[in-house]
Amino acid sequence: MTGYDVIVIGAGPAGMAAATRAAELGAHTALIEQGPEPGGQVYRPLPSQFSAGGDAHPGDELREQLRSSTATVLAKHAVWNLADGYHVDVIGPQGTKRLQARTLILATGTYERFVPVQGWTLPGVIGLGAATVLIKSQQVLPGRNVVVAGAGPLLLLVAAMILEAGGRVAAFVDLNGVTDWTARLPTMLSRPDLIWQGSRWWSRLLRAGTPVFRRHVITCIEGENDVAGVQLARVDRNWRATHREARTIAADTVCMGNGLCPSTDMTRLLKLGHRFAPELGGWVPEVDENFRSEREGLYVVGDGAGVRGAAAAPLSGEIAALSAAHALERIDRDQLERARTPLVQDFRRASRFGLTMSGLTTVRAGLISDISSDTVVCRCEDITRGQIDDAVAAGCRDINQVKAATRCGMGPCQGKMCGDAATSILASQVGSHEQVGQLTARPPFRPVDTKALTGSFDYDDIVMAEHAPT
Amino acid sequence: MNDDLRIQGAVFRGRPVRFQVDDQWIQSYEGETVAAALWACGIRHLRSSPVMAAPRGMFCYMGLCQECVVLIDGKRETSCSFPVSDGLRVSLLKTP
Repeated sequence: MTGYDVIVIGAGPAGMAAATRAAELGAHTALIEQGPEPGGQVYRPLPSQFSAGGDAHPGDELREQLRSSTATVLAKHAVWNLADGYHVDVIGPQGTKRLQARTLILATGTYERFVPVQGWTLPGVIGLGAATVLIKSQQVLPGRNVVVAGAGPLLLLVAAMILEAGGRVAAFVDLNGVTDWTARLPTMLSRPDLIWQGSRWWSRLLRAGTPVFRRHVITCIEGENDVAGVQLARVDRNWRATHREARTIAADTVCMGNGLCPSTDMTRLLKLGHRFAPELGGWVPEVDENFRSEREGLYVVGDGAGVRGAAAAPLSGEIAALSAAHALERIDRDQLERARTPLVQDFRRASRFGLTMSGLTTVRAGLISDISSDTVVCRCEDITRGQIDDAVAAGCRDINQVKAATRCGMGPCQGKMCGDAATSILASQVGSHEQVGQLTARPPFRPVDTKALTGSFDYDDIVMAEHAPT
Repeated sequence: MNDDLRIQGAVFRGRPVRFQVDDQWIQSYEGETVAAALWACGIRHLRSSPVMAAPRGMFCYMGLCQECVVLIDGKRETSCSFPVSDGLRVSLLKTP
């Protein structure tokens, strides 16, 4: 078993910054990343076999700082289990191993929130996050004629990327209206660079003549074995689809998403306290101003502690690394405070912008009410909204009761795709998210090949227990 | 959706490789994932769902949703995180 002072899980902006800083402060540090290279989803680099003309890529600076630090980067390693101590079970190209650390910094980011709609399971429907990675990292267009739908800043980014790469956006379908955006302008002014970037994307859409539908939602995605088109409708003041201005639009691909949810499977497994904070993306683990949890030596940083965006994430990672280095007696209180103060100020500023953006994606009750009873909610197990409603009618009040009664959230994705929607459906009937709770997390976090866990063995290697005395 | 969705002119891709999907040979480039290579040539229906046998394909592209799972050289793998290489044998998990 290999031991470290600090293990950081997840090499997005928060994890890269945390590992770099911890290593710089003299802690023996490892950074674990499931992907082939550090970057996370937001800074996912081109594959090493691809080459672009010398353009710098966002995230290169963080990657460079990490590379020149003494932190050990374990890429292509997925964490499948965590235990007290802290033990970290990983599976990588050479099989499984158990690592141990005094301090654990979780930087596992988010996954996308989806509001299920009729037809969202068809091939040709992908997440907005999927679209960004497909375009920037694989240099593949999502489609020729694409509907981009949902809420939040990713919508505009994806639409602009598709146009830039030579695709057509068949419809830009934004849940929010102009006033929902302009209400946020005062906070957005703190980042003129991002406003400038956003307006460049907008003018791209305008120049392309992209049909824009504000305060609209997709009510149905049509097609047999692939996407053929979508039906759209305007939403009313309660965010429910109206049948006024309903229309059908032909398309070959749909990119959809309603913001990001903090990835809490590890903090749930470690039984941290969580609170429901819609403005932060949903359930978030309880951490203090140093991102330290109630458990000694356990930190949660970046969007996994609440969705504040890619500018705030590395700052939270650095703050946690400083606090950890102090706890490990690598720096004294003076050094801690001196380094920490400017970071905290920057973090607060960056968070304001990020929080304003995630505010555009909070789940509106009307969207949940409108999920029809024959719509599949749990993709893994083919569980419909109707089956969830039946379980509620039969007396289920907790999300884990619904899981036991229906298998919703029990499939190989472990509720990562349906958990948010299923709990929102239940909460809308029971009363609140606090009453409904969260799905219980269990290892393995990802499907793991059993053969990789057991290794190879012969019959003779199996230890037989002695018979009990009769 | 049969034409190539690879974005032209922005980058140089890796060495050309060929791999097999069921009975069909696919042209791809080193550095691509199996899912992206299939998507680029219009193969998006990768599997059938377990209960309804409904068509499914790549969805989250982050290794989470498990919708892009196919058999690669006989093992179940998420094709969105599996790199292509020469001679790979991919079987889709569609039920007839």
